[in-house]
Amino acid sequence: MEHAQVTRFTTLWTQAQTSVFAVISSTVTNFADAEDVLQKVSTIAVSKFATFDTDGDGDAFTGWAIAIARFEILRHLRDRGTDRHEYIAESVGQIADAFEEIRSEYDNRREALNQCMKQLQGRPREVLRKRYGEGLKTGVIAKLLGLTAGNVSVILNRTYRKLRECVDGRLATGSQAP
Amino acid sequence: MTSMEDIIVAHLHDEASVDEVRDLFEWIRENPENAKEFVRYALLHAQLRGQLSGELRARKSAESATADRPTPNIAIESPAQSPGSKVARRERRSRFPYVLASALAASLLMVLMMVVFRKTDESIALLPPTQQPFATIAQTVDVAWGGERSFGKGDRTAANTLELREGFVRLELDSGVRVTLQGPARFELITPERAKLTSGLLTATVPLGAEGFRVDTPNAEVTDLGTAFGIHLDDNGISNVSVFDGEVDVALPDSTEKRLLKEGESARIGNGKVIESVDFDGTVFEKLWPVSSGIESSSGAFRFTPPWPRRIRFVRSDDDIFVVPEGYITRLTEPLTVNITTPGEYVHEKSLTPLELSSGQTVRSFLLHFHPEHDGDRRRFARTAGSIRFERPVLGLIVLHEELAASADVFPGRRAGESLEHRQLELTGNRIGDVIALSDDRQTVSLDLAAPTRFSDLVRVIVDASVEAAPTPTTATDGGPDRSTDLKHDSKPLDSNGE
Repeated sequence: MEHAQVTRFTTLWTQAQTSVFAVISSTVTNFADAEDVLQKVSTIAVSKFATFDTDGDGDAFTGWAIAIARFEILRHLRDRGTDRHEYIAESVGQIADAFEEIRSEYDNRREALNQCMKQLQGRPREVLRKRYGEGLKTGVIAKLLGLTAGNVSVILNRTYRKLRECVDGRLATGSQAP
Repeated sequence: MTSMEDIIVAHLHDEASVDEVRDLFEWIRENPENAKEFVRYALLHAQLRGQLSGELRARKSAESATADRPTPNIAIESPAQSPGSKVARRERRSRFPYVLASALAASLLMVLMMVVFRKTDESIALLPPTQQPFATIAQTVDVAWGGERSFGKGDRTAANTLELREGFVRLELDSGVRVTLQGPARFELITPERAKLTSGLLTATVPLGAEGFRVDTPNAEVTDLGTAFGIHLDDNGISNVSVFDGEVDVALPDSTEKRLLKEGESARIGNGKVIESVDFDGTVFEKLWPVSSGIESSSGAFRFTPPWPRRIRFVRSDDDIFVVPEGYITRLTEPLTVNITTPGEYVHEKSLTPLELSSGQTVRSFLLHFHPEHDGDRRRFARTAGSIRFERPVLGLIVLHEELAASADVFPGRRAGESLEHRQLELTGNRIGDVIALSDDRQTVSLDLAAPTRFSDLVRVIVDASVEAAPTPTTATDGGPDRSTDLKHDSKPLDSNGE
């Protein structure tokens, strides 16, 4: 890949990565596995970048990368082959389509989340940081913080709802500005 | 019953059961709107992973730069490391969004790192060390300090031991947790999330966002899950835990035994390593309520009820005006109409000074409740008077039926009968009329109430609870003088639990 192409790919991938990861992590619900799939998608995308329409914009690239991700998700789920993975596999297409439909909300949601996170302090922030930052499971977080796994799940669940409400509230009032 | 929202969150965290996953994906297939709802959660999930793993990486990178050694991110790319090894998997947990690394040349990685670092390093947030003060002594009443250290109102403190021979102290943690102690008591503040009670009595309220606050006693670990609770550690070393609102988790140290306690439940933990359910009894905590609620003093007919349990409509007395704190500190989400805002005495309805309090203000609400024991047969006439002083300025008083009913939606739960017209003040100016006054400094409310026949009276007091209204903090000094004010609560505590 030439340097100019490398730079272009990097820019497009950086923009697309969270969207691609969103589709993957909604169906492959283990961060380590989801990131394995994301890595495969990035490898395939690099190798096939020459086939991507060079005039395509960021949205087109994201759509293209998600199409690659759909195949990789299905491959991953089918490899696992349990009932759970089968239920999920049946809906991968529909989920990817739903992501496509809410694509216009992405930037506002990200910006609103940034603002909402500033209001989050103390234990909930610590739990989120361990879960999302360090990728730890609830049982491990519980041990580290001297809580039970049930406590951590409750905190995670409440914080999650609170953030979702905060993000939706900000979008509804159009007050993404600080 | 588990809601679909709960199942979505459990699924995203890889914690849903097979049946839940089946139900979830059937629900998604039922309707495109359901699918959109699901992916909005999933998007939040992915955005959180991106943002927080970026923060962690930036922090680690900053630490590594300080230590002048290679960053952990470089190590991820070591070709010697087998991709499937446990070490590699553990490393990968925190590397998102660097998954591109092994697929691209080093030059590309550098470009990517520059792009991503620019995006994430503004949001680095480090937890403050516990040596930094994280709590304020918000109130002290009749306190005599034991031990080596005494504190005054407004002092800031980090990890510390508070030993009270007698009196009351209210601590406010920066996280919003409020702990009130009644002496004799010994309380160790360890971190913003953890404390230890080795003797005495405490109540704690933990607002949304500060869940997980834990108080240990010698034989129990009490973890708050967003709630209000009390612990009484008696002279025999028995821990009594009572939940006034929400839920707490009670566990035994060095044991797997634990129990979830809910509102109106109590448990007793002796030294026999068992959590024993006992009848809820809030009376032991009654002397704590005024201090924990932010009431400075009172005189005359005032009598306190605990903030929980909620219903007070049927709390009656011919002589007493009950002071009822309404739950937690609240931020007004919409304007609130009050009837009195200006200091002065009010006898006639026409002289009221109504105002709309703007949304966004942080307030605490109290009900002042006078409800004589009418027996339905005899014509009775009760009159009573008293005054109550709050720690913070009163923003407004609500005394008329319409505004009482409207504000009941803002401070729900006590079911004080606000919707009934005869509960408002009768500001008629005659013998059977009521009188209400707000002091010039806006902290004292005085009432002279009449309740003929079936009438009863209700006043909602809206008190400023903003940070600006808090006392100016100072730094705690070892062995400093006790600057507690001489405050008296000469009213009687409520005999029952308020029901």
